[in-house]
Amino acid sequence: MPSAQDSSRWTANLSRRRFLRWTALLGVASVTSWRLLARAQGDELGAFENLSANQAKVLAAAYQTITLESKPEAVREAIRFMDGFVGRLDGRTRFEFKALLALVEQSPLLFHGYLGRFTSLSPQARAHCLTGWRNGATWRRPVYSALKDLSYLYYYTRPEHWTRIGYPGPLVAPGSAFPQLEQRYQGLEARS
Amino acid sequence: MIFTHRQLTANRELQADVCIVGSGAGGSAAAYALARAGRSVIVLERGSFMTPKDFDQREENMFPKLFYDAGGRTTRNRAIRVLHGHGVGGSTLHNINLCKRIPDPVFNSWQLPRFNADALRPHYAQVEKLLGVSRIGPERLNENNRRFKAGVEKLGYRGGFLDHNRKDCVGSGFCELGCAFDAKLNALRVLIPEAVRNGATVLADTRALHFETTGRRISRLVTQTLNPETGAQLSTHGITAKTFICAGGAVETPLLLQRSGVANPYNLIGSRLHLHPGVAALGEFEQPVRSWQGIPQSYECTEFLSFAPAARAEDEKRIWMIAGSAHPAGAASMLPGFGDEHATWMEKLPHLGCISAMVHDSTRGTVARKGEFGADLNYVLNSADRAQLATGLREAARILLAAGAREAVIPFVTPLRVRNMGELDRAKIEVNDLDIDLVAVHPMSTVWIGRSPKDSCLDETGRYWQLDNLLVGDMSAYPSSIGVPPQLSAYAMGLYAAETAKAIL
Repeated sequence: MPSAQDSSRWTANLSRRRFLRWTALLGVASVTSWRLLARAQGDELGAFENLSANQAKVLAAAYQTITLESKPEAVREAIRFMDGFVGRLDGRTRFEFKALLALVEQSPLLFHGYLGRFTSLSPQARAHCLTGWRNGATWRRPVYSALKDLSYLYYYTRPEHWTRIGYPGPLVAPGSAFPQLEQRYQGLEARS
Repeated sequence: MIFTHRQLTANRELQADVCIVGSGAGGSAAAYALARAGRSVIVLERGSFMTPKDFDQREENMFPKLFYDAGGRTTRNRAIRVLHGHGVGGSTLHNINLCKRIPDPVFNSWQLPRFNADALRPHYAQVEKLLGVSRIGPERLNENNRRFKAGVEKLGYRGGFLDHNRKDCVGSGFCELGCAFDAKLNALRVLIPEAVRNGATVLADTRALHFETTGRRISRLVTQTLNPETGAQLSTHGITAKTFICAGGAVETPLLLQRSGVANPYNLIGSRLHLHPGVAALGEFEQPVRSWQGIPQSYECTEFLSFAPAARAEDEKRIWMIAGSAHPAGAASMLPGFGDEHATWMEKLPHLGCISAMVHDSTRGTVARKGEFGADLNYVLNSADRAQLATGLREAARILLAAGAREAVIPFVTPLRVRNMGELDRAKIEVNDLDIDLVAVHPMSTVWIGRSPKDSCLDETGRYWQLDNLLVGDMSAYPSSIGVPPQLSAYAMGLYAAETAKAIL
């Protein structure tokens, strides 16, 4: 363990110019390492068409907190679905949604008294932050609603979750068709 | 014929007597009437051409196909989710088939000598006949509606069965995701095919970009065909026509006119937005309700709805109540909390009954462009409408308790749970922005009819005051909230606009 004496000696030897140089280097290193770390963790989710790795990571953290989903593959599929959803939004709304994700990521320090980003928090701390978004000032609630609605739009459309809630699912099998009904529309569409 | 993105890969210049923007209730009715009258008609539709096989009863698949912004469109303050549809057939693909005419007192309140109940009556009658409108009988009530009716009757409230346009309905309960059993007698099944058989051309997957004008006339409409999966632009088209009818609904119609920069001397386009916002209360019953099964809305409570003018604001009755239903993702959005709390609610889903309360709104909002094609809906509920919705929530909870619910729940951010009438009467119920989910599915009156260009956008024939060959044939044209489901009135408005088009062609 370095002693206080060591520390003061080290500080005394640090000129102003060297201090500035070290601070700058540390700053660059921390930002770079965070970005690399974030990218590495985001990359675990795979690449997406509309979401960056960091945005996917924030969505994944929110999704897990809201739905309590723990299987990594299921989370990946959820984010893939959300990526497609974001792609369908008009450009301005898409921009707003991405800004919202950036705000959520920084929100623990800004609003909830945590030293860390949303994605770095424990599940309990994330839940605390989401509760803050829900119960806090009125302008914050849409953020909570957007994350909740999008999460459940995927989670509760997965057949594996229907039994628990007593929902039987669709009455028609995927890809099935009733030929007598389709006949009504035959000949309406032009041939390619 | 119907042309989709599969065929519309090359740029074209097209001509017709009439070009109709939108293929929903209003657009399909106008196309039907004009094509049968021998006019050449081109109909544009932003959404895709889908048939019963495409309605797979899955929320995650159907929301993006049926709704603008995949169902995620909201008012500017995010307080109200606004659902309106696209696809060949428009909002008639996802609606619940409720058919009601505008009550005479609403027509009378507009004080318009020509655009009145008498003028619309023959069009209503024609639509009702075409769509086989008939009353849902007591034998067709699902469990949710049956309990709703029982609660209404126990309290001595006014109620009744609703008229629908459905035939051979199997009661699958998936109406809002499109009908896989093709039981909706709607624009898709009835009017568009008949228009096409009479020579109309439909361009699906095609967005109206903007009008080009010369003097007091629209000379051309520029359009763009998109790949519905990727959103990529495939081709652009120019359409020239003698007359143009806007029928894209009360959000898209004003946006198109704003994008086009048409003359708007009094800055009225897009103002006066009404939405019919609604809230819902839940009741937990001992026995399963399974509100997703059967015809979703077949009974109404009109105890708190009166179209007669009230002397004082507190005497107004502007709440219409019907049963509510949702499939899991929709229900999950409404139920309180997240994580374990929410999971507990979802496990009760089969036992939850639901009643929706919709306000015949006096609030007026605006529609403006957001980015290139987005919609900025600036609509903030006024205090009178908030009070009406609070009454609606209280009375919905009362009906649920009267129907035998062991607990009624108002899904505020912090849910209000009451077990008996005493608790309900003591409860403080207020509707504030973002305290409770509000949903609106009836945007209207954004490019409305009136007597003067200073205070309206259209003359009484449905023609735009500043352009001689532009008509509006959708819910935009009505001068105020109508207080009833708009489907029938949108069809009737399409026929009304078609009459004007025939006269000026």
